[in-house]
Parts: sequence; structure tokens; C-alpha cells
Amino acid sequence: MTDDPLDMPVLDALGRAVPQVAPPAELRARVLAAATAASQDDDAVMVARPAPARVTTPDRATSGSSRWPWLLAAAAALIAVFSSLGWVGARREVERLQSTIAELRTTATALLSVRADFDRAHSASQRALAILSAEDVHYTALGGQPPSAGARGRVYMSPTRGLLMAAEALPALPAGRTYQLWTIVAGQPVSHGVFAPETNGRAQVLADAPPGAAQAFAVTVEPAGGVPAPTGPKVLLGVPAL
Amino acid sequence: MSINEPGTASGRHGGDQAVGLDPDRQCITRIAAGDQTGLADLYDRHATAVYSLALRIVKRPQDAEDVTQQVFTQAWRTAARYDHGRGVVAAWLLMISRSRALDCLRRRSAARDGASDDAVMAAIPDPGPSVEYVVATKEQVSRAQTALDALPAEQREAVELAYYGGLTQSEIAERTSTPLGTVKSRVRSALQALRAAIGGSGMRAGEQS
Repeated sequence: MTDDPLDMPVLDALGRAVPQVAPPAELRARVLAAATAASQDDDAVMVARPAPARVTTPDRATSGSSRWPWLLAAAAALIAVFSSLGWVGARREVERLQSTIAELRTTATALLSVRADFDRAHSASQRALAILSAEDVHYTALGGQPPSAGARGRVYMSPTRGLLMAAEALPALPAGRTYQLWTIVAGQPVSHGVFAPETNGRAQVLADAPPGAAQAFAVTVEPAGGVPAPTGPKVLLGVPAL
Repeated sequence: MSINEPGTASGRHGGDQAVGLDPDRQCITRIAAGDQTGLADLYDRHATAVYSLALRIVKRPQDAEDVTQQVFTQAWRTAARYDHGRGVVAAWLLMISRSRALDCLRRRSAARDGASDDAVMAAIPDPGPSVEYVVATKEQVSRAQTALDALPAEQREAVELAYYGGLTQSEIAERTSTPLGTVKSRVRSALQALRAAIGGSGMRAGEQS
């Protein structure tokens, strides 16, 4: 009987010849959340296919987060199991699991943010290591200038890999002020950007190498946002050997 | 509540979609690309039909909601594999809805009787893998409703137990205290009457206006 294609419209018509009842409005959100939490193509018979672009990945930090959709899918599958078994209290269980999913989503978001911070820190560490281990790295000590004679710092400069400045005992900045790092090249200041020290007075700055031989390194106090050429008091100053 | 018409181009799609293409097909393509709004559109177009059939079969609204969720989850998961040559998406969704709803019935009766009859073929099974999904037109659905109402009571009961109850012909015979041969001829006569009433061959993929 079912080999006869003419049966298909009969079957479809029987399926539609029932009283049409709109599903509860709140079912829509529930169905869409549960369905899209399931991973696509997870049947064993799937033919290999490039993974579809996820529409919900805001930045590269989420690229390593494939475990989270999997967890959500597992929770959704549990919901399906509980509800399909028709257990007493399954409704409550579904609601509980849905709130678990919401919590997992929140946790996942928080972890992704931690992961992004970690990625940034890792990337900075890699860059600092590349500078410190470069064949052409040069070391310059920076001395505190009156009235901040206690401040001190170091510059590791590799013309090919960049510049790392570390400092300690930097005075806390007044409101509306920032520290700015400079290299003097051919008598002209080149800015490496602004920074603020940690509360313990320490600071590290990673920057590109200046365009040319450094005659001096300096840290000055400048208006917030920085300035094109130094205007404020020098806090640290160092002159490279050679 | 109106019946969804797969042929009407009423989908809420962006302006970049070519006019005249089957909106359901577009939904499936978008879902296959991981686009969640594609599933939302598919839901808006067919949730009522899917839910209504499930409700007719499982009776309990809560179970019908679960079936609806399973249908659209399956659509989400398998959209990438949907063979458009196989036919109309609307008919496919309704077929899944019936299958999942009958699964739900069987689980309930298995839980009650302590046995499972999953292996038993229903008197009206789902179409085999070679059958093209064809969707009934609104007109055909209306004629089917009229024809169902006009069937002799015992024929109508047999086809309803077979289609909406998922019973085998033997189970129908047992349930109605009727000889198996009589049940077989009732189901056959009822389906023939429906087929005659419906006429035509339904809407195939690519036939939507």
C-alpha cells in the first residue's frame, strides 16, 4: 500500500484532517531553545561535511568552546528523556533543567570572558618572551628622577621583536594624569603609549621597537590620554650603553 | 485556526530571498547552515499542523508539546541531510509528528502493560524510504474531512485506529472484536474511499505557486 505514491496525499490529508489547535505561545521559545541546543549532524551515519558557521560566536575567544554546546545539548536530551517518559513531576524536572541550562549559559559566558583574558595575557607573555630571547635584545636600566628617586625600571629592546619596559615603585598618579613611555630617536621623542601602574607601583609595557637607534628612554607624567611630545616631569630616564 | 498552506509564499524572510522559491526549502537551507532564525520561521509556518496532529494522537497537551519539540529538534539536526528531491518539507514534518506521537503512545502503553510492541508494524505505516513526500492541498484536506465523516462508522473507526492510533490490523481486530479479514477489508475500503475523494496527486516539490 505504501509503495503507491498516491497514498502519500491521503496520509498527509489524514494528518491535516484533525482539529487545528494552536500550540501554547510559550512552546515556541522552549522548542527553539531545545532544538538549537542539539548539535547538528550528530547521527553516526552522517556524511562528513564542514561544520556550519555558528551564528552566535562573537569573537575568536569562543573558538575553543565547543564543549559548551555539547553540554547544553546533553541537558536538552535529558529534558527530552524525562518528558517523553511521562514521569510524574516531569514538568517540574523540565523547568529545573531549563533553569540549569540558563545557569550553564551564564557560566559559559563568564568562562569565555575569563578565557579571553587568559588569551590576552598569554599573547602578551609570548611577545615578552620573544623580545627577551631575541638575539638583538639590549638592556637599559632606568633610574628614578627627583622627586621620584625611588622609582626604577628596565627596558629590553630588540629592534626586530619590540620593546619591553618594566618598572617598580612608580608613584601613584594624580587624577587626570597618565604615565607615557618615550624613546628618543635622532633627538626626537617617539611615543610608545600611555600606561598606569598597578596599585603596588609596578608596570609593564609592551611596544613596537622605535624606528631607529634609541638614544634614551624616558617615562613622563602627562595629561590623561597622552600627548604627541613630552610636556610633564620625567619619572624614569635611561640611556642605552654604546 | 487555518491549516498551513505550504504553497503560499507567506514566510517572513529577508529581502535577499528570491521570490517564488519554496519558503520551506529556504528554511531548510538556512537551518542546514546553522541559522536559528530558519528554524523559527519553519516553526511559525508549521507548528500548528505538527502540534494538532500530535495532540489528536497523544491526546495530552503536554505530550503533544514534547512531540512538537522532538519534531523541530529532528528538523534542526537533520536539515543538512534533507533530500529536496524527496518532496515537500511540510509533508515530511507531519510524517515525523505522527511517528513521534505514535512512539509516545507506544511508550505509554508499554509502561502500562510492561511490554513493548515497537516491532509490530502499524496497519498504516509511515511511507517507506522510496516514497516521495507529497503534501495534500487545502482542498484535498477538506475533501478528506468530508469523506471521513461520510464513511460507515466501522470503516471510520478502523482507519482512525490505524492512522491516529498506530494500531496493527490484528490489534484493531482485537480491540473491536472483529475478524482480522473484516478489519483488513474495512481499512482498505476506507483508504480507497479517501483516495477517491481526494483525487489528484497532491502537491509535490516544485509545484508550489
